[in-house]
Amino acid sequence: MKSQGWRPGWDGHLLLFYDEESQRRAGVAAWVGRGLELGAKILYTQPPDDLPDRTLPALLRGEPDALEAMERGQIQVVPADPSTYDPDFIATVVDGALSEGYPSVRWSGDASTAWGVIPRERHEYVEQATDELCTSRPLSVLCQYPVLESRHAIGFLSRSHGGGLREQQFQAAPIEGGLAVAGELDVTNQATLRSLLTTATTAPGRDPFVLDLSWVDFLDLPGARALLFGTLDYRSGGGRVRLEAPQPHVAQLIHLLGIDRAEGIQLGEVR
Amino acid sequence: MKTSSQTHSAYRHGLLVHDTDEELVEGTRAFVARGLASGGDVLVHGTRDRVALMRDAVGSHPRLGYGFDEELYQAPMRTLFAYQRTLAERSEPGQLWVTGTVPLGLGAAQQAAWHRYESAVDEALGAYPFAALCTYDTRDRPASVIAAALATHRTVNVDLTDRDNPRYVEPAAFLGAPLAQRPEAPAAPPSTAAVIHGFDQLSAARDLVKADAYRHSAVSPQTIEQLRVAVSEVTANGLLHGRAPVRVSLWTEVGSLTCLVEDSGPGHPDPMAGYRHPDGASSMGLWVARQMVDDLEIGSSPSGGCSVLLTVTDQPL
Repeated sequence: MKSQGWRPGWDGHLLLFYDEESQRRAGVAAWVGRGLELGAKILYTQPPDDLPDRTLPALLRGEPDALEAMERGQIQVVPADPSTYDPDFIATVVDGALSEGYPSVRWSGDASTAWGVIPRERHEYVEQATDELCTSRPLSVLCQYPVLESRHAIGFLSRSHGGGLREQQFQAAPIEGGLAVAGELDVTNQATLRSLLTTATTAPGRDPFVLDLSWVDFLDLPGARALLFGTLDYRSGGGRVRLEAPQPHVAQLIHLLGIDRAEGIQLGEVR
Repeated sequence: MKTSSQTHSAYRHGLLVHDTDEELVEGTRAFVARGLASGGDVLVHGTRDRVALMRDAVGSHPRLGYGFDEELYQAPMRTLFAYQRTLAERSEPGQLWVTGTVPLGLGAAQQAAWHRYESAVDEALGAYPFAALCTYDTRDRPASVIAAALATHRTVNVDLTDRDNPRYVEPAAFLGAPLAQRPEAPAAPPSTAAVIHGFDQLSAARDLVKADAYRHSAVSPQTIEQLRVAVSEVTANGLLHGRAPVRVSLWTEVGSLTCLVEDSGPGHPDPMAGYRHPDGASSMGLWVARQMVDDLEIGSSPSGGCSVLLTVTDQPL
């Protein structure tokens, strides 16, 4: 039984963590596809002088529906300049699209685009303001962050994105009382998972901290270790972590490795 | 090469070959008496008939338990690691004594799997205060089974005394013997194959195995997932401890899946790796993989690297 109705997806204020351009392209295409499904107004911020390969039409070149939506104006490119990152401006544009009859609005851009026009500290403020906008309006924002330049900031980034983090193989989002994770947790993303868990359990608010594993399809040894070490500080301080609703084969590995017998770890009901 | 310093001083894995019920009862009674006298817990297992016979002859005791093979001895590797888990988790410091008969396999392949089980017991359980007496009845076991038993037990019980067994064969050597019938990669071309160059391709290899297994076999989802974890760990090992590229080949049958993982690394595989309970982080991958599948064989690949053959089946093993 999946807890609390969270499902992995492309909605909300999401952080897209990518290693390679191909991952960024795939993520943006999927996110746009979801927007088209919803009939949403889709806005994309890019530098006016961006490399042709990185522009939105290039990212969507394999998606005829998206290209057609661009022609109709449902998908709109917004040239990046400092005013683009003013929360009031963002709110105005969003409200404008809603009054045009769109049921919801989606907006995306790469963090490096922002860093090219405003200082990073200002961008951090904008991210927090955007997070609030996403709760006050039917707005979903996808922020693309290159892993290499952003790994150190994962703590702040995950806190300022209520929709959570997506990377190539997994997604993690805050839920009431904890964190939900979906996808495949393995050697390639265990460092990210560990950082996310450390951040999430630094000031969790509720004990036991719930880690919803119902959407995790695959867990390997490094992934399992990340679950342990990401929550180690919290548990060493007396905190408890409940591993909720793991799928049977995931539960099997957890049990085999003795993770369910580690200090402070509880195993919730297996799906 | 296992050094004797890694074996617990109170560990024993002995063999009693008998052709009468009286010998069996005498041997079991003596074993139980020694076990109880040592302060340990004793388990006598067997078929329901055997257990009934033993209960009558040996009686009861607070530290003596009886168990049925149909519950305890379902599949060789499952049984082996269940013992290991029990021993690793025991909070009482005393010894565990177990006596009984390994089941007769339903076919030659299954029988050989039990032989390989016997050969691996020392490696898997040798670190614990564990005393086992395996009883083999010549009246209902073929000569080949008796021969395999003699090749896989370091000590034999003769006249109620444990003696060194001159016919014992080291596990790595036993695996190469005809009696072991070590599984090999099928001669037919694989159903699917992938060549992995780096960790970023692990996920794709896993997906390929899963998709092909679902498409061409009726093996249960749980079993497929277990194989997927095992293949992922073994492939990661090949990249980490061996060398890329790592080739992953899958053969699918309706009721079974066979996967071969070959790396291009230096080789020198240890066929008995992954049986011992890991005490550190290293070499856990193989230990996990062995518990996820029905059989795992480590050998050499044609290119001189390591090869690992994994087998899962939904048929009773």
